[in-house]
Amino acid sequence: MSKPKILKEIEEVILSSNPTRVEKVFSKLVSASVAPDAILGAMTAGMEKARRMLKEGECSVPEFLLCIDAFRQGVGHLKDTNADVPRKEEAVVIGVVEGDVHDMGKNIVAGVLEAAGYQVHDLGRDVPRERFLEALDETHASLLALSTMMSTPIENMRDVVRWVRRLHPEVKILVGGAPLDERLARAIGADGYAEGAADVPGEAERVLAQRARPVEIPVVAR
Amino acid sequence: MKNPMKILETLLEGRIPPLSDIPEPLLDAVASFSSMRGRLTSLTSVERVLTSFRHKEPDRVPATPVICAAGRQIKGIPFPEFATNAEKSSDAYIAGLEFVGGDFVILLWDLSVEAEDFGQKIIYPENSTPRPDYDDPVIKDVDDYGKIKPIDYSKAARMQEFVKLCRIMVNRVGFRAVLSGFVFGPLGVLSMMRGAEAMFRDCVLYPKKVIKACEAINPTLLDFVQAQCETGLPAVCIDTLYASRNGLSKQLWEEIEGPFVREISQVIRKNGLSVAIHNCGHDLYFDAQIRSMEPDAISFAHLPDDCKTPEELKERYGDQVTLVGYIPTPLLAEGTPQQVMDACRRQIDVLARDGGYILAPGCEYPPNIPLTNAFSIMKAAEMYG
Repeated sequence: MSKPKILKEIEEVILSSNPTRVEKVFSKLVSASVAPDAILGAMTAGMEKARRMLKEGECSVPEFLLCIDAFRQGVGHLKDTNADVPRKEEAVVIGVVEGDVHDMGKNIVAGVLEAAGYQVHDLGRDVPRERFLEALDETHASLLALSTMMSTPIENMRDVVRWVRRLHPEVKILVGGAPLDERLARAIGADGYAEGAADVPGEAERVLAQRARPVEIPVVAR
Repeated sequence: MKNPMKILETLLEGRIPPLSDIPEPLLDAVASFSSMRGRLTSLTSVERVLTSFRHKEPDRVPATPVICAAGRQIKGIPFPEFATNAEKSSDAYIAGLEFVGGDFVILLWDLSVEAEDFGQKIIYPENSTPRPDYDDPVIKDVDDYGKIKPIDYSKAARMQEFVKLCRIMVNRVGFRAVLSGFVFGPLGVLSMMRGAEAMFRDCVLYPKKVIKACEAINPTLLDFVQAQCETGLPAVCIDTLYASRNGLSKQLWEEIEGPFVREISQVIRKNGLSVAIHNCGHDLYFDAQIRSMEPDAISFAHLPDDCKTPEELKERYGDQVTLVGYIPTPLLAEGTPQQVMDACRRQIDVLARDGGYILAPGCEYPPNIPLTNAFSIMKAAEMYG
């Protein structure tokens, strides 16, 4: 099979909702002489297509979950071949705040961020504030993504934001989940908010760009 | 009229009779009369809701702050007691109704009630909503769906306790408000026993196994709903969370859960009660749910997938169902009373025309926030409704 054909097949299989076919396609890669970055590029293109379809309502959440699985399966195969999987420099710490165990949204966002090239450190669900702070120390992440699906842990989310602001002021914070909207996200002190997983890469880029921007010192009239 | 004596007896007992026992033309005549009377004087909550349900304009828009677990704040009842003890729970509901008000009360503990009786271990935090222990799900593997068996409803302790709550509330509330029971659809129950993420994958990869589990669960849910109907409630609400873009595709939902929730709605209707749906997902499927359940009312938090504006929603579905909603939870949590009242006013302006609308939050009033904005909703109904 020619290289462009292999890459096309990889892109398509990400969207196939068929784990058996995914396994078959990626197994073949061991013997194919295609550069890892080209394979990753094709996988990312497949994920990008899936993300657009999710945003437009052409792909449902379960199907998107299978796309993420396929992407991760592909990354696993690349790692098995000892290929150096190119990643972005930025690391992200992600987790569901203490008091909530609903982690599907968080898992989807973690998958989307991985597909967008970020190094993702997933702390899981029901994560206490101290664990978030430790993880930021350990990973030197530039982005913290917090999730909750219930209204009761919002105060815990606010508390994490407050402490991260104090101890890691350089870290940008994204929040998401059913009880939140842009206004509430701002009110609890987050830098950004994504209504759905499909919006996360854009929002991550936006807040990280703010981080790179020099601080503007307001001119005070004397 | 099916049984005039039975209706009279029910009224004399201080309860609302099953609406389907009353002929449609008579209901319409009563609603028209109430609508006219409402121009001159205040209606009772029951008159107000029933008039709106018949798509006529009452004296003002009916409203509910959907205070469920939030009512426990008033009485200082811990969450676990609220969610497991019918007597304590009814105290919380009555406190919410008397303290804040409301024309319509949805009786809801949390989404783990049915799953617990199917053997799912539930964690009861002192100050938050009970939830499944997802580290120890009943369905650990896709083959475990086949192991789910119907349970004997008479041994379903938590469902029985919830039905007891319904019975107590019917007696304590009387004609003060319209009450609704609650049941989580079979897919929802399964998601509590498997975890939503794993269940979603299974719905795509192994739909037959999921359907088989729904077949095992549904008979118990039908018994649960039947028992709720027998308490004298005028309505039961079915939660179909996954009939939205947060859940399955429309086609897959209709294939997997649609037939089962249809059976549930048929039991409710057979008892003469009104069928309500609650779905707080994004882009929910009004059309598919109406096809499956023919509901009288839909409580929603977001616009359906086929409507871009509330005007379009009213135009498309306003004459088919009573719309219940849809003040956003984040606004209740962080907005000022004025901001909440402004949002209520905007929704009333669009949705209340010609009846068929109940002003409400899109979901349960957040259990742990101050009740200030619950009052804002009721105030907005009085001022702008």
